[in-house]
Amino acid sequence: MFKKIAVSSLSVAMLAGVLAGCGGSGEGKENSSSGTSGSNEGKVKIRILTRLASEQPNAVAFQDKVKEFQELNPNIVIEDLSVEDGDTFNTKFKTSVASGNLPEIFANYGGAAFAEYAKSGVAMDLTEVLEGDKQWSEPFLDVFDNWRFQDVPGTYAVPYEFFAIGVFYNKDLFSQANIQVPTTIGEFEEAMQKLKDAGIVPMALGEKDSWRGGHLYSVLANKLMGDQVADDILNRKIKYDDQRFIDVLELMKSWQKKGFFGDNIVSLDTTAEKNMFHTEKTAMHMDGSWYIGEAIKSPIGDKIGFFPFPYSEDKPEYKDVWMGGAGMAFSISGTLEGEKKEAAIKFLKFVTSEDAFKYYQEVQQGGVFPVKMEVDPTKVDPLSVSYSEAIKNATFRSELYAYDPLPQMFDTVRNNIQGMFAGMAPDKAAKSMQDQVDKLLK
Amino acid sequence: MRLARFRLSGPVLYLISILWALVTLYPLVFTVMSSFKTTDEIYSAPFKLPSLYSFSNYAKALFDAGMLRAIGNSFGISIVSTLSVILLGSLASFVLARLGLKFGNAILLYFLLGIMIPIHTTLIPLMKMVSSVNGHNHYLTLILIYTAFHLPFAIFLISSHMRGISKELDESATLDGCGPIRLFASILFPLTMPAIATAFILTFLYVYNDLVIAVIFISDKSMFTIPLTMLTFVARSLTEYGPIFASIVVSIIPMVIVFLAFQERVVSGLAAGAVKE
Repeated sequence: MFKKIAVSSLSVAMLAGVLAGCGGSGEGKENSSSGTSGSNEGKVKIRILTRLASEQPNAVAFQDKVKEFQELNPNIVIEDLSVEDGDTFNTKFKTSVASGNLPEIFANYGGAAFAEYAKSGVAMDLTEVLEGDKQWSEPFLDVFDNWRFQDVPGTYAVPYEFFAIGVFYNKDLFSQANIQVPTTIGEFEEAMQKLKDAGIVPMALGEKDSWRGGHLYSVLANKLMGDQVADDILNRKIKYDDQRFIDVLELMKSWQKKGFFGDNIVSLDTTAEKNMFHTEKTAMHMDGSWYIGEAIKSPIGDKIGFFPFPYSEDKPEYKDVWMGGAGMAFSISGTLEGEKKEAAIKFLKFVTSEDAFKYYQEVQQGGVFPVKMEVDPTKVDPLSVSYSEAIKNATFRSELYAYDPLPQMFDTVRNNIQGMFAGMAPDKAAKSMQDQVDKLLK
Repeated sequence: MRLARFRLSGPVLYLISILWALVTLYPLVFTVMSSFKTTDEIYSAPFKLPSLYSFSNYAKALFDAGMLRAIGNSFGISIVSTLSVILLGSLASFVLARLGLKFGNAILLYFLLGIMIPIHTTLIPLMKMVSSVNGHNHYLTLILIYTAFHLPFAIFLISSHMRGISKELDESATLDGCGPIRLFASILFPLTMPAIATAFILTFLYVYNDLVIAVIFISDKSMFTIPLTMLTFVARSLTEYGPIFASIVVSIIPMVIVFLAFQERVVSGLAAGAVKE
């Protein structure tokens, strides 16, 4: 008995020794490593961590530009750590941040969740860089909101992607059900009813992926409550169980009850939803501008049209409030100095220049980007042209709950919407969102 | 105690076996079937036979995405890590189980503690250590990490099996003039083969399938392992399941070879050494 105790206490001691040793050496080396790894035989090494690593045209176009930069700048070595899958990207990003070994350039989506990184100096303030090179920064659309924060001055990223949520539809199915493109929510409901009566699922929703419902919620809230609502969420002037939010949820729930989204939507995922659209089982597909490339390549590519999400007859003043804005953006690590910093800025400018965006559009045969640029209808597909046309006067707001200073609300809202589609009452779902806020603020 | 005497007669036994075979084989058949389909077809007609046997998914996986190279990488990394686990593990087990060291048990326990450390909790310190020696994009980095993490379990398996072998064997061997190295290499190692085979397969399977370590330490495309290469088919708005299934089919082959080679020993190895006689 005594022997056993002795042995186990000995092993505990050994374990403690190892753990302590680990922690100590790691801390000490952190600084020296970031200093030495830069000088690779006089070359500057820049590591980039993006979510552009697949074989899709958008990623290929970006990789082309990286190669071009590499050829033009033999003194800079680009090491690409990119990975496209979301969870894997997060693992990689969080591990890098926590170990103090952040890549020089990294992708992110901004919002309240990113504020902490701006405050703690993980990301660099790019205001001076943007101000210092007007030729580069001028064409950008005003979509920097996600990287400007109330309590820290500065701009912490440059947008690389731009998105706006609208509705893609199947022209054949529309004429089959004898309906016109709807402009108001009333017309939209009528159209959906007609499609339903014609035996077509009006607009399938793959709510197994909770962002589908989250996007619909944000879009509807924009159209019914206006662009002010994002600021109200940011400043906590509105509660999630406000009657106006409940109305939005009830509208969504009523559409589900009428069968506008199809059956068992909570067990349908996005890929399956898109498959329904591509096999003409559903007439409409609400999605962001990132979908354009896929739409063109789909088997029904030439039948797909696009219209802006319908606005409310009662609130025509909010007609041009869109869910949209910058998608992925690039930040520069806040700890850089000297030639490394210069190289990183040079690279950032190179891949987000107007010329670069033109190149991306050419390779993708379309797409919309966060810069003002002339769209050549002969080179670009009709969907991108109608997109660019539609968003000319738009005001953009990202996913509403991303404005909430509590980052946890992002998942909370999405999950409660999913819960509502699975059976929870709209007012219960709204209350459950607000309860979470109250709990977290306590 | 009538139940105990109940025996499955021939036809019933066969029926159950056939059902079981179906259940086990179905995922494999589904994978092979899907590997010929387009992503749209996988979704719209998941259970039908492919409408067209096209090898485009295979071409895409093997040549465009570099699956061939990835299989080579994964296989190489797995084999080297596994062999070093086996070599170090069996040597350590020999010392701990047979030589009767004073602190043998304590050291064994210390090794066994390693089984309880989840790999994810060590990512951040590992990242710090690897970057301090500029160890990104080196096969050796992966091999060392995998070896370290699988050593405890291998030692656990092998040493418990070695203890079960009668001590008199050592004594008579020593009497006949056999030194410790020969005792290990020609007598104990072969006798422990079931446990070693088990450790081999378990380590190999794990390393071959691992994603997280490779994701963090490998960014050079030519060094990608199989799971990393498959990730290139996962785009943000679209997952290309066709090439993924094709990759799975191709990457199963080396595993099947390893398993067939060791299979018989594994089954006996899993139970062997569990009980002391």
